[in-house]
Amino acid sequence: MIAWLLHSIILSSMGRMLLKSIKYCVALGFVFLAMKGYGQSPPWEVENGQYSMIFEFNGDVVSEISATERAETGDYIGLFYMSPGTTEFCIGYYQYTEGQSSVLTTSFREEGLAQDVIFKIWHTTKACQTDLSDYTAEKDGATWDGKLTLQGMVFVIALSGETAGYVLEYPYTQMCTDTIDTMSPLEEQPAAGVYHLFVVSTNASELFNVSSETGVIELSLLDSARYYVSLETDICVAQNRFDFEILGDSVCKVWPEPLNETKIIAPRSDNPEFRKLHFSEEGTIKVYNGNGLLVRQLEGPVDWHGNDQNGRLLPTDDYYIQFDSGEATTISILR
Amino acid sequence: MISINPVFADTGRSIDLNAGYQSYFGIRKSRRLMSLTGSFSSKLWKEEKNNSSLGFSIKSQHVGQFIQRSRFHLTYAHHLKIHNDALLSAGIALGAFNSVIKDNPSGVAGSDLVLDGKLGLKLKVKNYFIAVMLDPSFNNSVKPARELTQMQRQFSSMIGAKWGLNPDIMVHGDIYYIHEQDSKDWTRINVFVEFWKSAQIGVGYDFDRLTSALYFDKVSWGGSNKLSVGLSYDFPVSSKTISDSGTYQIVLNLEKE
Repeated sequence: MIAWLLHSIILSSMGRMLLKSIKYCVALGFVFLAMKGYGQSPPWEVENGQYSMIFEFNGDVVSEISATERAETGDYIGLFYMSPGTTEFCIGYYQYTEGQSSVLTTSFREEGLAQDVIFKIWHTTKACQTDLSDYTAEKDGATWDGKLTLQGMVFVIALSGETAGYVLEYPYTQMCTDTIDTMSPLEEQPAAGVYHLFVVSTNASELFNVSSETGVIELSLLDSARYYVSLETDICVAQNRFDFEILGDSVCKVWPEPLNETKIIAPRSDNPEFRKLHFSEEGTIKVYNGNGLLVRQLEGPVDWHGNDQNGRLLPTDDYYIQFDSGEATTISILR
Repeated sequence: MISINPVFADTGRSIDLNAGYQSYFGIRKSRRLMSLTGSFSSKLWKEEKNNSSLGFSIKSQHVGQFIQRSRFHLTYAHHLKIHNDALLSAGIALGAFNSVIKDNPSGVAGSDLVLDGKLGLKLKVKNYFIAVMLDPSFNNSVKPARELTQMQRQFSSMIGAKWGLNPDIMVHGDIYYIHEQDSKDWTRINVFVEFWKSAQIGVGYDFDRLTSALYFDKVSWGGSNKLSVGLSYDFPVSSKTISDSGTYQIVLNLEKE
């Protein structure tokens, strides 16, 4: 039924017009997504066909989950179902590709009640999708009926029998209407001139470039290698800070990768990159607190979310990591 | 950031100023603690009644690149002679505690400023003393997300004694027991020897923290106005600690009798 609905939407004249109308929005969305890096996976992940969902609980980001790789011609839509009144949330992805469909599901448990959960989903083509109609999902043999509708700029999920809606925010629309964050104090103004920003993915392929002739690009120097970037056009305003190097008088190259090198775990961060830390090192990884006490032992390679041996999130502080090789490094947990 | 019992602002010296610097060896971007403390005896302004002292304490801790904590206290200690050989002292410290998460790529940044304070009691009988301190830190309004509690809500007790081996050599010993909220209790024992009232050498051991310290606590110059330099090094003694890294501390002390 969902596949049929998707087909109906996409193939209908209204759907086609809608898709046309959102092309510019989506295209800009990628640009601003990259510029902003706000709350979601970086844009190259989206371009490579992955998307992720962000879960906020009582205003805090509690989890992030990524879908499997998207086929080139596939469409995605998220299905969400949960056990009302309990603490269990179940998340499913619906994958639709050329008439074939499959449902990928996962479930997890969070503390507290479900009423204040906010889902944010990355989607590559459905940013301006309208009515997603009814859906049915299954988990553990139980069937949940729900309705997902667009109300203004957010999608509302209402489970059958439940009056409370659940808000699903689309970052594209959010990005096109918001002015996000505040600029850091201007310490030194870069030289005047036309700037071109190139965002380059980890495999060095160019994702996009923006000339300051087509928008207002402001650069604020934070230190010798880090700038705050603000891009403003007629439609959107996006800001983020990136490490980049100046190549010549008028060309800047934006390298998002150095952000990952900064060893931070920030569970409240809008950027999922900072909600965990990946250790690629083999062997035992020991985490010590500021008193030199061992608080966590891991076996690499592994992702670490900043929890101690008992699963509790460690407090804001610096922690010292020691690898089997004898090398040590420092990470910051910021809560 | 170990809390100092305000009751130790005593009247033995007119002015006592300390500046300290503490850092980890061997770890890049490790934490650094800078402190400035001082106490002023009431004999500075009331020669006939030397029974109280005022003090201050400023501490700033840089934790890596992004975290900075500052603590400021004004302290008052009152000393009451309850017997020829017994002195009962009470101290209070009031101030503020500020924690800052600096601007960083994760976007999680901000600061919290809270009222801060602590209470202390000490009973000294001849060459023995016992002291307790409650460091409740009035921080109930602090956002839980900032997790300031690691430095706060501390209770400590201390028992100490000193023995004179001869007029030039004194042996001091003390035992700390510290309970910190959300942390494991720990005990520290210190023994140091003082020579000619101008030099101290000692060792300490932290049970449950698995570190040990060797320190040259004081090398002094001068007569009634003494300048002292202290150096201590905390080195790990267990595989459960960072194996090749310790902590060092440098203290400058100025005393005026």
